[in-house]
Amino acid sequence: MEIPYTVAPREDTGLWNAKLGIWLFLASEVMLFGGLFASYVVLRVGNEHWPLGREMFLSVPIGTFNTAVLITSSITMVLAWASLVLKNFSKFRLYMGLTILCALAFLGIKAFEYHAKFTHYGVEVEPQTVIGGMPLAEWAEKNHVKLMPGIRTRDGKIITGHLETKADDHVMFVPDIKEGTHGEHPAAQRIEKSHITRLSAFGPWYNTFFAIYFTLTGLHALHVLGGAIVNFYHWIPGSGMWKTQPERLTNRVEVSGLFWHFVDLVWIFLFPLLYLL
Amino acid sequence: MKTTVTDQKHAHAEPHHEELGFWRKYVFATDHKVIGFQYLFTGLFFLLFGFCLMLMMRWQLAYPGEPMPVLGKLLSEASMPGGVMAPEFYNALGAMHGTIMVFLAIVPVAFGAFANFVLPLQIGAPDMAFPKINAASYWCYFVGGVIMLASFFLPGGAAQSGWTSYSPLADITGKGWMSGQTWWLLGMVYLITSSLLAAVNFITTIVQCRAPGMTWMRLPFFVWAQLVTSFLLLLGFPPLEAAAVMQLMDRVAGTSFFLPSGLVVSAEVLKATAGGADLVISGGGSVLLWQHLFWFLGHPEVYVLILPALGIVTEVVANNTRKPIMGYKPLVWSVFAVGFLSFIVWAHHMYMTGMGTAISAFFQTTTIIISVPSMIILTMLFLSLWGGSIRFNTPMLFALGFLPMFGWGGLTGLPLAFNAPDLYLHDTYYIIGHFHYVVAPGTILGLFAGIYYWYPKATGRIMNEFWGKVHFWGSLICLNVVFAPMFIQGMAGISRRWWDGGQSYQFAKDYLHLNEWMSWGAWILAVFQIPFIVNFFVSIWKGEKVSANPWQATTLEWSAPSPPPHGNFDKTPEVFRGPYEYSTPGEASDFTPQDKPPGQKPPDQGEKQPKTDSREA
Amino acid sequence: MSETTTSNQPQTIPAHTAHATHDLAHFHRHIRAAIGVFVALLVLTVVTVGASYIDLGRSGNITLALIIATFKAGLVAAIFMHLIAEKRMVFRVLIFTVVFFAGLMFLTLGAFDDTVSPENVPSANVP
Repeated sequence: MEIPYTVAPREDTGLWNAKLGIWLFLASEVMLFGGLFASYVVLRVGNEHWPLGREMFLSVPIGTFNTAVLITSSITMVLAWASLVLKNFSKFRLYMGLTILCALAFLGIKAFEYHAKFTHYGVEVEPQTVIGGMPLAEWAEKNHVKLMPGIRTRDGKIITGHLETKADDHVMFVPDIKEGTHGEHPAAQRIEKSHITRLSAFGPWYNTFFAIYFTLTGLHALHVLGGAIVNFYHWIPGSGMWKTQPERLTNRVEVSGLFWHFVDLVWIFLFPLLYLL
Repeated sequence: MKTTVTDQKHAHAEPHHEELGFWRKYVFATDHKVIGFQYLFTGLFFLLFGFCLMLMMRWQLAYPGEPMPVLGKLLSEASMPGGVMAPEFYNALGAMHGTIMVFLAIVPVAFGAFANFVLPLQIGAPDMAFPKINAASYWCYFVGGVIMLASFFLPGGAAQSGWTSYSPLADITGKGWMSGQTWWLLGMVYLITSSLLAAVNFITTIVQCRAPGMTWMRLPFFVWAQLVTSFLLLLGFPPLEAAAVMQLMDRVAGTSFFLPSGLVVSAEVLKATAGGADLVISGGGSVLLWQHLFWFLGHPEVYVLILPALGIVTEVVANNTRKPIMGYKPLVWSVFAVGFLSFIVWAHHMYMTGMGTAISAFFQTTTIIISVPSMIILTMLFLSLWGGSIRFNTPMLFALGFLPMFGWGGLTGLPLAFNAPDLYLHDTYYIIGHFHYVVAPGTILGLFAGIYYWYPKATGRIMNEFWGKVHFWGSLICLNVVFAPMFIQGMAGISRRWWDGGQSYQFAKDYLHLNEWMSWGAWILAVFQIPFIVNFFVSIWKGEKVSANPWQATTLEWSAPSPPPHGNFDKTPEVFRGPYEYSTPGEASDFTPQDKPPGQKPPDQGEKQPKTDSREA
Repeated sequence: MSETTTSNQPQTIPAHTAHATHDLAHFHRHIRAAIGVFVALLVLTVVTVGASYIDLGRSGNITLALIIATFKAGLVAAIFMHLIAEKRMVFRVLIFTVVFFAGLMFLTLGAFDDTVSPENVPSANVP
């Protein structure tokens, strides 16, 4: 006895097995990301000050571009499946290849963004700190540096920028200058460690915003990777099935497509929530 | 067509399958029956292991501060300094006992093993819909189990924060990757993945692979129970997986999803690790968030523990009363109601967290409502006994034992549904008594019923009846000795998770003598499992051989050979009637199999000669 | 390499997709709709970004962005994932999923929102 309805649909349900299987799996994925989204809402509502994505240096242009990349990969996925339905194997190869390319592009851009965050720092200093021979407020005014409210201490101030060197008693810090300011970046400034209450890169440990940002986008990226691997399998190693069981391969690609669209769907919510709001 | 036991081991080559090697047939098997065995053996091992952890705890509770015989010398100085159990070790035993029993023993046996072995046979399918995913789900479970066991050997030992892994404790005990608490989270990710894959598989199989004529309302109740269980796992587990990822981030990436700002631990504001780089935590988290995400699964999980057993007991009761189950339709609708409601009652585990009256009223209401379909199911099972020709064989004894035990467990839950009494009883031994009654004299008795019942189908032999009865009576009595006094201790206010069993508290002293009773009950209970273990293994080779349908049962699995070959049935069965056609008026025998065509002689009659049925199809 | 058919030869649709696509003309319409959705998604993305720079108050911005995102998600689900022609069984699974997700979100928020606080607890008279 063979397992029934692996390719042809069952009459009363109208479904073949993998079609139902993938929707069940996607239901569980809705609950997975749903759990994280619910946590995001709880954490956000419970925190007095929740920064905008761009306040935390998430790049809106890059995020928008990445969104377009993922949307494009969704349509190429549809076209890959459609090519198999219309029995055009070389078109399938083309569109599936494009889908995988878009996936890799998305991941590459995400890696670039993560790296940028891990090398971007926030240093929290005491209000009486002296930098470049000047009191803090004066120095910030002169160099067009934005001072953000501190996290660790009530009246501390945070300067964001890049770390050039780190020594035992001081750091050499290149501060960010305010948006829209013309002129050169100031050179690295010396800040005494005795005045520093916190020095931290913008990793998940920086604040709750980044904690949920990295968790949500990280889990999403893992799903993009997983989907890309499955798509690659259909693209090359598993594509031999076209010769022996073409309908079954078509179904497999359709089912992988459903997963792929779901991944795109999650990003459609992630992007505005994290980058824009 | 029958195959003998030996034939099954050297499976004849079928048209589309080459002869598989040892590894593909028995290790990385995709046949649901082999996978069912894998789940059963691994699950029963963990059941025994988790039981042994508790036996050790019971020494500490009965004789706190006294060196443990034998094991006191064998275990490390860190866990048992001078042979006496350290408090941290007690906590680790407690946390791992719960985790192992729930996630590594009961769910894999009740859901993984039983559904795998029985379900495709009962619906007339050749296998599960996705055999490779089936294998993957077992191996994920296996890996998760290895991780959990290995965590005992890490510096600091296994997880110590309860099976519920509450933050902030679970966030801060030990730190980093090489800690039992972290490995607990990693193990959980594998276990959750295993359950999700299995759930997808079982639901698809039930929907898609039913044999012709097997309509929804002709399904054995066992199948309905496993269907609902699958949905509970499918939709309930992922939020816990999300939470586990977040707790993992808290432990290794410096986030503080579940740690509030300014948390003070041992008189220090929590902000940095001792030595090494300044570990900054992100602040602004919520401890309650973990609890919500955990219990969102946690409550459906307890129904996952009970529903398969209810399914098994229904099969055994119908078979051994020789009459149809009372109220098939109410049973089906009730199990759906229980499944649905189980998703919206979870905060009754959180009445102590300062919930306001509105939200508390909501959860109290849904919790009381869920007791109604549960009660309907139990009542239908009790009523099914009325007027039956009851056969008191071993499976039936376990099924009969299950009914009042589960009932008692359920009834003791009623005070807990209400916020007010729960404020007093929460985290006391009353709770431990309540949930153990449902799972230990409850579900586990149901699982034993299933093992004794389906053993002949799996092996072609029957387990010894005398030792089965010894196992039953000894277990039933000892289980009550162990768990009944817990209600008394709980009502006296004795808290759970006290490593000295309450010795330090003045108000507990009148009830501490019960600890010794309960511990001896537990140790004698252990002795009574020996006949089961011996019986189980010896009967594989020496058990009395029986026919394909020794219980004269109606459901489809009994129409397949014992043990069934790969592919189960020669040709697709066809179903003509419901699952519990026992003692149908006008029929020649007292049972009519589901696949017997109308007007035909029933197979496997035994001594009774069937008359030719005058009604033609 | 398997043989390929060029797209100007008459095509037959495999039987199993007949349920979803009915016939060739319907299938091509479906593909054209998908391409239309692709364009719409790109446009709506730009709209979302643009709208975020308009100050509607925090809740206003969030609401608007979520409405647009939900609409985009609906397009993906209905057309790309072909839910618009999907079978009842799938909808049954999804409807329960949505209900439970809503339960998780709103009951959890409700529990955080409705808490015991000094204002709503009568002071205890401890003798």
